[in-house]
Amino acid sequence: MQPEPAFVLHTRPYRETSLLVDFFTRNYGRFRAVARGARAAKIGTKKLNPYTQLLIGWAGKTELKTLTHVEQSSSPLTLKGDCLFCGFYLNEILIRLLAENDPHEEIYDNYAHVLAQLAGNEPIEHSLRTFEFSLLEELGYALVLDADAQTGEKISPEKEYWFEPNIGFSLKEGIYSKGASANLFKGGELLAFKNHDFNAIPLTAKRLMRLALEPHIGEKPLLSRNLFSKLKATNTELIN
Amino acid sequence: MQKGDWRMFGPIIDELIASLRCLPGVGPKSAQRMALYLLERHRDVAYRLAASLEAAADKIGRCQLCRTLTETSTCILCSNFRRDPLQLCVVETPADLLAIEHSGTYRGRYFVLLGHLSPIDGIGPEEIGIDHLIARLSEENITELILATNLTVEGEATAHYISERAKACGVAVSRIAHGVPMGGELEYVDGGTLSHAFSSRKKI
Repeated sequence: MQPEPAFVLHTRPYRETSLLVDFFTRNYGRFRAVARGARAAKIGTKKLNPYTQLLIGWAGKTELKTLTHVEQSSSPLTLKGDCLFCGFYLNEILIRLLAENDPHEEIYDNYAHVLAQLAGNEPIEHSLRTFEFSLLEELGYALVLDADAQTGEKISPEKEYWFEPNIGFSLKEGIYSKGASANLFKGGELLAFKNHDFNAIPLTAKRLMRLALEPHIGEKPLLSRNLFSKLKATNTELIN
Repeated sequence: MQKGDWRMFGPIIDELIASLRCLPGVGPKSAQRMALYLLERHRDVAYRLAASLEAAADKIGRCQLCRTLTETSTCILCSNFRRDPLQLCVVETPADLLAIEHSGTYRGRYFVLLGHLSPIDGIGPEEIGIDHLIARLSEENITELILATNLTVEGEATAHYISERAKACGVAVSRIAHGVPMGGELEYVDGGTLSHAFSSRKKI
């Protein structure tokens, strides 16, 4: 077998000296493998770090593979500061959203790209939104941002639309209760979103992506997101 | 009976073997050897082991200051008045604490997280006692917080999280240095470590 490009999404200790590793490979999708003796430095945990492009080989016919070979194919990306949490977030959504053994080359390439952006200190929000957007698209949950889901009419920039996850946007009718306003979007914002102009509407873009990802993430909340917001909340509290 | 089945002595011995297997690095064969060793000739050792296991499981708790394992309410390190109260070193596990103690260079006090931030495993700041740590920073007169978490992605993230929270309390935060190990030859040091070593080089 040719060495396969892969990223480590997550590792956890297994038995005395081994690791259970969730890999995201380019041509075979996400799967889990045992790295035998990895903690005893036979393969070396140092190599099995997240955010580093690896070339791996594995064996085994069951669901749990055995890692046979690993090497770094690029120098490791060092994510610093808040980007570390963003990395956690990306890995967490990939683990939640990707089915096992379901290859998605596009997502893999986008993932490699967004990691490089995070390591290169590019604006975090824009990189994350682009990745989330393409992730949904690749998985077949693409948002229709230019047509009303019920009538099929074109989205008009001046009107307000109600977003129903998994269905789409429909023209706002009647008066909604205050608590439900998270699902309301202006037509203009949707069109900006469609053009990947996330910088113009950072908060709205974040809200929309959160709503759109929600049904696919499952019931448990994303902890990496909490981590981020908690840190920001305590800091603003202290500043004020 | 199947070949390789170790259940052949009756329920009590079987239970003992099964219990020994819960220890790290102990498989069925070693568990069997340990059980037979204790029962054949070393009953006194068996009694002593049983008594100390029970006592430890009953009485060992966590230090209310640093969260490390101890049988008293505050551990020996935290109650030692000769330790520098101005420095606090954050480590992930009691084993890390021991490693630093054995190096004999640090005279301050510790805080043991008993883990690291790992959102995918469901471990957030509450689980590793960061609120408790921050409370100590604001209550006690600590001037330097030394972050000695592991140099893994999770350890780095934990260090970053703590440093952000600690800076807000006005405490100076430092991170242990990382680079080429003692006796290490550059040729065999991995690229990541080398690039760290270069970026944090110092004037001599």
